[in-house]
Amino acid sequence: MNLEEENELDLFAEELRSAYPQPELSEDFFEVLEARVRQSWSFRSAMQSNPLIRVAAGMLVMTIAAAPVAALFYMFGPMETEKPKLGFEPRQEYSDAGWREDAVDGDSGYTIIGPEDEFDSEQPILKAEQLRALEQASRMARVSMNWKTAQRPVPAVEQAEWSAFLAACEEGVFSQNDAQIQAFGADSKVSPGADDASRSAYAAWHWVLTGELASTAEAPLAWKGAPFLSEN
Amino acid sequence: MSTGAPDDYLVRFKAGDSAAFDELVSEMAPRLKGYFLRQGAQPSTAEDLVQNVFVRIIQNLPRYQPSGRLDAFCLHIARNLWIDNRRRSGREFSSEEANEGLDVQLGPVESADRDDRVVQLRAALGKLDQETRELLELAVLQQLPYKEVSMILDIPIGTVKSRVYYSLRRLRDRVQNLNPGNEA
Repeated sequence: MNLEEENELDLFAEELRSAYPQPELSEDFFEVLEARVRQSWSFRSAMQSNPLIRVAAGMLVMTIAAAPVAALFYMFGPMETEKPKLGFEPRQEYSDAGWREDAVDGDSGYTIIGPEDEFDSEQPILKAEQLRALEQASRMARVSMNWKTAQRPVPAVEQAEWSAFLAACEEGVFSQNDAQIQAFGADSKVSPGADDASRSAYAAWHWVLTGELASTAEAPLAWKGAPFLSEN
Repeated sequence: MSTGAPDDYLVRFKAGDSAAFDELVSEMAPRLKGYFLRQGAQPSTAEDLVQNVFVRIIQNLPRYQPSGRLDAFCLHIARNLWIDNRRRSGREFSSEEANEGLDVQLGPVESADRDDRVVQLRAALGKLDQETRELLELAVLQQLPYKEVSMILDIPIGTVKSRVYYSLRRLRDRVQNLNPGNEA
């Protein structure tokens, strides 16, 4: 395509365009178009353009659908299930498996304290004072149990004296401070002039307070099973 | 808008300028009506199709993204509507029908003068096949850039250039042959 022919074709294209003047529109064209544009507002185009309308439409659908769905559930809804009977039916048979039988002393019939009932001194949650008081209480309980187990006062010692001794122990075992215990320990040493009952009482009380065992020489009026009289 | 880079009336309209749509209609409606008439539509059908173009633009306005010339965008919609219209009617429009619509636009004097050059040009264009007529419509009469024509007709831009050249030359020769003594 040379330049001359290109120019000729450009002129021909211009002539062709001039042969087609733009057509006129009818008089009511704009009115009809406006009416059609107003009618063209569609739910779809509004949904696409406005998110609020989408949300509102969704809620509307859910609200409309809720009533028939609820009716269906009511009609064909949950099957009737057997209601459980409430009541109390105690077991007729009991099993002893796993139960621990408490040991009973054959002679006295007293229950022997099991290891689970003893105080666990290794627990670090107790203070030293609390620990000592509990140990004293345990020893006091053993003295009392031994005394009752023996079921016989030492002949040389009056029952009243032992009762007084035990009462004094129970009353004073928790109120002794370190200085008093040490003073008592010094006093509890066997004195040459003390009688046997006093020496045994002192020895027992000394064991309760301090845990130190006495020898038979220091507590000559021993009763059977008394731990503070043990030589071992 | 018809020759240079068009103002995007739709961008202004989306931004709230209601007058922009009126300006778009005033500028594009006659061009679109001419397009439909030259494709073979009756005048009443042509205006109906023009209005359909603007209704479709309004309906798709939320998704509109300016990516080219607005007149090409409108003509692309117009072409799709015309194809749908032809499918619904179930027949092809002949070249005579294309000229019938145009004849209505002629004045009485022009219609009476069948030897007029304008009539010869229209007759020659009307005798072209549908594809060539559509190509010249977009590239020559509507003056769309070859790139836009290529996108609308979905053919390579080089093919558009060569087809426009040969179609114009053939049309010119045909008009010259109708009236050998009247050289352009």
